[in-house]
Amino acid sequence: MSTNVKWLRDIIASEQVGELAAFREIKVARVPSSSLCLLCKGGRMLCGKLRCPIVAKAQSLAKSSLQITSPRIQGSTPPGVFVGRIGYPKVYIGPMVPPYRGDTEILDTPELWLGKSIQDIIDYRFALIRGTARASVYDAQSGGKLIDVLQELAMGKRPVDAEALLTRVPNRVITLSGETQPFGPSAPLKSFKASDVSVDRRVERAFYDRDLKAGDAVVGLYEDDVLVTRIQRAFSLGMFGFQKRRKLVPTRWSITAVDSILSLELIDQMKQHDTIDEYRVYSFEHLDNRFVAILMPERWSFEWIEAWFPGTTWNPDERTTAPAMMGDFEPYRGRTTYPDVGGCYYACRLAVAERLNQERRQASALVLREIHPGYILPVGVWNVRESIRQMIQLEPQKFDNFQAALRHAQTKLTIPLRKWIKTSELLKRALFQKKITEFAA
Amino acid sequence: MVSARMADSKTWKTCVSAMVNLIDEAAFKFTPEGIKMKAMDPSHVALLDFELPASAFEEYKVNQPTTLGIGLTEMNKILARAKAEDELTLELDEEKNRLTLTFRGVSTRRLSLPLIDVSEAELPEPKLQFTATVDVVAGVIQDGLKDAEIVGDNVKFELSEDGFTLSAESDKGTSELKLRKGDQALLKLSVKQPARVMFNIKYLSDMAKAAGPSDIITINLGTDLPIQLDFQVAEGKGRLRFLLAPRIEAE
Repeated sequence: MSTNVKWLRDIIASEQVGELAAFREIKVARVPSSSLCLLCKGGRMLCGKLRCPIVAKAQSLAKSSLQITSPRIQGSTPPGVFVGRIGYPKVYIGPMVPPYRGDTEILDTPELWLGKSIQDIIDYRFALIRGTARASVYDAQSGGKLIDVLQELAMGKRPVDAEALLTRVPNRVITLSGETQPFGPSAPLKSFKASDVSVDRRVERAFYDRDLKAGDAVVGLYEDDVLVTRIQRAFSLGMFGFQKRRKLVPTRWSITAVDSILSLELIDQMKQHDTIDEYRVYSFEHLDNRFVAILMPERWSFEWIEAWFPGTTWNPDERTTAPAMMGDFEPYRGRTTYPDVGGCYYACRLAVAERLNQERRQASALVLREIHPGYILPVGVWNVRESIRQMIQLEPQKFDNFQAALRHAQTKLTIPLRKWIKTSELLKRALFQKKITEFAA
Repeated sequence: MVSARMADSKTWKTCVSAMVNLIDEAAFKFTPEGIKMKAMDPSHVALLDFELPASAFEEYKVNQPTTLGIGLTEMNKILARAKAEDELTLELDEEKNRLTLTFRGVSTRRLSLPLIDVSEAELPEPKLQFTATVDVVAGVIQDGLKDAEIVGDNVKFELSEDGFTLSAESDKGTSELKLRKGDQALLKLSVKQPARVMFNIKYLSDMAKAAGPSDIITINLGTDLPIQLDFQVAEGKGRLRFLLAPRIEAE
């Protein structure tokens, strides 16, 4: 479903309007509640957000689009590539190129985004123009002109000058599904050229090793300190694994696949270590997300709970007053089903397992996230991974008993503990499940 | 030397497959009298106590007490290869530090796994004053647990002079299983004081895998105490006992 909205002039500051004469029409795909947004036009904040996501996106689109009047996009790709998921196993793939040259690495490197504003992040994403072409996911094995170049790019360790010739000036579709992180304008790709790529030898080695399992490649590269983002990029282009089993993997799936593979490996290693000696509480705020982790001196187990406040993307109904809470949990042995909360579960699990392993300890980890209305757009699971990574490097508050740890955690949270307890399996276990040792004489 | 031969593989298979749900590795103590193993699950919520005397074996040769550390996941995989009626021999290969399992059926197959160091942490010896005990047909308990699993994570056990109730309750609904005194599936009932206590279903259903549907489980209960489940092994010669700590929800 898409709706045409002819009111951009109403929602962009008047001094900008002049520059934007070209934009009379912006396509809005899948608005959560289009009638509400239409009624509001980004002016009355009917949805309850502090800033209208359409405005934020539109402004940013305007900024970068001003430089695009031609279907020929010349610039330095970060390097960036994407693999879509619509139509799987026939998907859209292509390079992402900004309309300017320079050090563009940050545009597609979430590891560098912590501390940036939502507007900055939107700007990064919208600066990346996507040239799209159809491909079968099985093309990862056979290669092809475009796939070969994209795979080469995915091995790149610094920005590469490139030129994407599109069939037309990129369109101005704004995708507002809420799930996707911001993605730039796109148009079908006519041809694509990139200058010589200086490839990361570590990734290249895994690419040419056609007898190495994809999972082992991912773990090996991580252990060689390759950025998770780079592993994901190459993973999405089907560059790892047994030759005959290589496939393109939609970008979004590849992010979660890599988070999942890496955290499983780290958890495995972690189980060799002793448990921590005390209860710990960590807290961190980022983009109006409030994160709190409670680590307990027990063998490994993990739980991740999100609470979306009324007026945030996933709880758009302003009539509700209670935050929408949802979580997933795994015991010591792990889990076998995909968590309801989605990919952020694995992003968080990776960050926690990574830290505990560095410390050579294990623990039972409960991580809570309150999403307040200032988080006007979901910016992607990297937000969870990098926020938790940052948080858990900070010095925690330490306690010798669980009750004190809980009391402290409560001071960092808006939602009362009893609601968290109702949702949390780990809290219930910690509070209500007795241990055999308590009955020993 | 350690060598133990059983007429079939079924007994050992069933025991290991119930253990593997709770613990990763186990230290089996082989003594001239028989095999013993005791372990706690990683979260210290359940305790497992296994005994199989020498008399349960066709042939049993152990000169001196020997403790063998075994990865249960690995052993379980190997046992999955055995047919229930295959004759099974467990043998220690001292030189290579391995345990060899021999299945003799249509052919003779031999698989071995490396022994591992299992830290023998000191295990608690809870002294529990149970007030009620009952013998029940395992299939009935297994059914009751499956019903309760639909409803929630916890299940309440109640034992009184009238009989036995297994019930669960949550936002998703309720489930109840009742056995009255005199019912066929309720074999022995002795109640000094009625008991009511709640447990995690996941643990219980993992433990219940140690029994075939027609086997008998002996349940011991006391209000706010762990539950003790005894399964007979090898026609009652041996025993697999589980203790599971209760879930006590304060208001």
